[in-house]
Amino acid sequence: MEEEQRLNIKKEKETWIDVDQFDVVLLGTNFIESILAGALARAGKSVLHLDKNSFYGGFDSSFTLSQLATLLEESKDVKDPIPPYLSNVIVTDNSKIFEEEERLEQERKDKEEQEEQERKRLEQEKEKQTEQQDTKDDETKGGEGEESKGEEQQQEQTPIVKKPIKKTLHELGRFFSIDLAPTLLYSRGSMVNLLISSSASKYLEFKSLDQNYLYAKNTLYNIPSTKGSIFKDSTFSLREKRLIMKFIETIRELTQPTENEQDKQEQEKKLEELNSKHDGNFLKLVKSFGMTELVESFVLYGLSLIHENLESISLKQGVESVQLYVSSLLVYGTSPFLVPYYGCGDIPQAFCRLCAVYGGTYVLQRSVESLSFDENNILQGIKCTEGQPIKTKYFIASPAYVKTLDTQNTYPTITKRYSRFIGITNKKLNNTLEQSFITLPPNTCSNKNVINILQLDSICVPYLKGKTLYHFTTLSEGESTAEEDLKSSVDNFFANNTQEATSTDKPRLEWSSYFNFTFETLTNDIKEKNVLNKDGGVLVCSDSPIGSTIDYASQLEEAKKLFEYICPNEIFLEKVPEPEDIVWGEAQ
Amino acid sequence: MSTGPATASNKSAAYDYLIKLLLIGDSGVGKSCLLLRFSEDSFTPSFITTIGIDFKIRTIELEGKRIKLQIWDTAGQERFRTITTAYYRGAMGILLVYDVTDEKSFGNIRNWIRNIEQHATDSVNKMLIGNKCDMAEKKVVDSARGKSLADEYGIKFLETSAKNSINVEEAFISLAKDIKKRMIDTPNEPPQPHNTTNITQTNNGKKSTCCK
Repeated sequence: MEEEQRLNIKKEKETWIDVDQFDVVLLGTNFIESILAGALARAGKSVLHLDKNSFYGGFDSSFTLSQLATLLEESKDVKDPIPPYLSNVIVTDNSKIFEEEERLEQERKDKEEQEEQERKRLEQEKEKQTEQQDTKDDETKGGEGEESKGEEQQQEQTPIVKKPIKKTLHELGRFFSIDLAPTLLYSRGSMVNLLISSSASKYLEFKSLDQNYLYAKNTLYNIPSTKGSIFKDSTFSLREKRLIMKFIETIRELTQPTENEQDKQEQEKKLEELNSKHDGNFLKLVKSFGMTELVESFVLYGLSLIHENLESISLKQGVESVQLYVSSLLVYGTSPFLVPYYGCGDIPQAFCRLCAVYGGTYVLQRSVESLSFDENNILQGIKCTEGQPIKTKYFIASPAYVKTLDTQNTYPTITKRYSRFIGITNKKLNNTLEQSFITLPPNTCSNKNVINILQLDSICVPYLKGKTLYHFTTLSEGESTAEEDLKSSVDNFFANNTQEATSTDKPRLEWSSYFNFTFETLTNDIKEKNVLNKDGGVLVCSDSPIGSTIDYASQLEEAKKLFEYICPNEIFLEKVPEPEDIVWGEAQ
Repeated sequence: MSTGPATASNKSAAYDYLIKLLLIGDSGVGKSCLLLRFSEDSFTPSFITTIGIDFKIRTIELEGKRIKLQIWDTAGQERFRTITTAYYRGAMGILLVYDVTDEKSFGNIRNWIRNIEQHATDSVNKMLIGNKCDMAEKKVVDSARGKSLADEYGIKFLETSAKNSINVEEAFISLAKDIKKRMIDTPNEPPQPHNTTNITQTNNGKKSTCCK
């Protein structure tokens, strides 16, 4: 029996898949590959989608605490890593210390309580005895019986209270969905629009973020979401408020959607005017309003979320970014942002599911060993790690894979590095709403670049009540490590031990990690031309969703371009008919 | 049975509770056939791998309440054991299906249960289904073994035939009843209103909770 099984497995491995020809083979289930796979299958292409990992999403996946800890631990030993990779990993697990402290504290409290009860009991007994003494003096009968009854009552009053056993952080760990590369979605952003238009949103659940904050001058400022709340806000003077409104109004005039041709021309004219006045530079436009430093920060970092290379952002790009922010307000909640309830890793999974529903084949823990080309350098097929050759017209993967498989061509990329911090605390920051986004402009906590903080409190209730998850992200330049880039901001908000937590009332870090995240993107130039060896059938896509902006706009653009190359005249992710539109069964 | 597209208005008004069910089991055990039999009362004898079936809807009435069953299929991702973790989210009941004429599919039930334990919520209602019970002459997994495996996990067991329409109604409805009892009638653990935002609607500000 066992022998037979073994032979079967061997046979399966040799020809593990009965189809040996696909239109497209994708390697890696990261963000771009997954969207692309969904779109290709939806358009009728036969798709084989592989991943060398045992889970979906690669580094765009969401992890449980133990998965994350393993991943971080393993990445410490990697020599000569290829992007995307983690480096400078530091993990600090204080949860056991705190849990032990809590246990001792509880024991001490229980003991105190017990002693207190014992003391009360003795006191009462003493009182009773005196009373009884008194009654005995008055009456001659009945004292004995009363005394024993009294004792019974006492025993009933002090039953042993069973306290529910508090789960340790690591027992709760499986309920966490922790992203290596967390991103927020604009309610009116291109990703949400695509999820709705493709109906892939049915595979996902979202949470609307409660509040967006700006941290400046050691204070957390609410970024108001309505005109009314701007004027109610006490942070700014009336003059400052008027400036903010004037700024938003200017943006609105420039971007308000209109059908009227005349209005459109007027908008364009106005944009051109501003462009020439401010050299097409967004920062110069903002400066022209003559705002105070705080208001300027508020506008630049609170309302526009392009947080990298601010000096070189084009006026058009900046205006669009503010417009996206403003139009996303009050759509699903007061803040303009949505977060996937179970982490961003569910987004690639949603598109993989869509691909599978349209016949795509998924195999994890399987990679590609080699590519084969004909004499004209046209792709013929791939050979899987199990040896089976598969014919295909197109092969798509991230730069690191492609470089090792296709050595005949060169694929220039830009390597980007981010510093990340992930922390789990016992509570959220004081005076903040549960699910919040906080922006730290440069030089607020000796930071060179903008730091984004995402606070997710008790998400996936009720399991995680009393646990708050934090993400810090900043662009890292030069050789600085994540700890160097982020430690002062982390220490600014959190306490490392109980003593500090008690004296400062800061959340206490129970588990935390610093790491750098390095990945490869294609240069804009190459994205524009699509990819270098596209005519040969090999296509390359960027690594990861962390980008210079919130949301997934650039990743979607890239997926769309690749799709249009393979399916020139097809619709990108056409809406799937709703199964709910056909209701067959009726109640009997 | 009524057919044809439902209007938008009865789409939302037609039920009191929504229950999400999953089908799980090896390729070829008849998961999609069970689903089609239950939702459309149809049967396709030829072997079709699942293409285009995402989930199916059927509204049933239980004790005066209209229950909308949303039953999800694996979309072929069971074949290489690559069902997404997102598939399990929010599932209230799972039908674990094997083929009574296929020993291996029965043996794999334990693996599927392990998968469920890893990815679904602890309280999810499960049911073991031995499908293709019409093929008596080819049967290799007898009923007693199915029953004893189900007992081991403390779950219900039924043998079904999607082809001959045996026990299919009973299976889905019995599971739905158990879920209704657990989540709606005696909500020790009340349906968790985790206030997620439904973005399928394009209109503004609509919020929905998981268990209506």
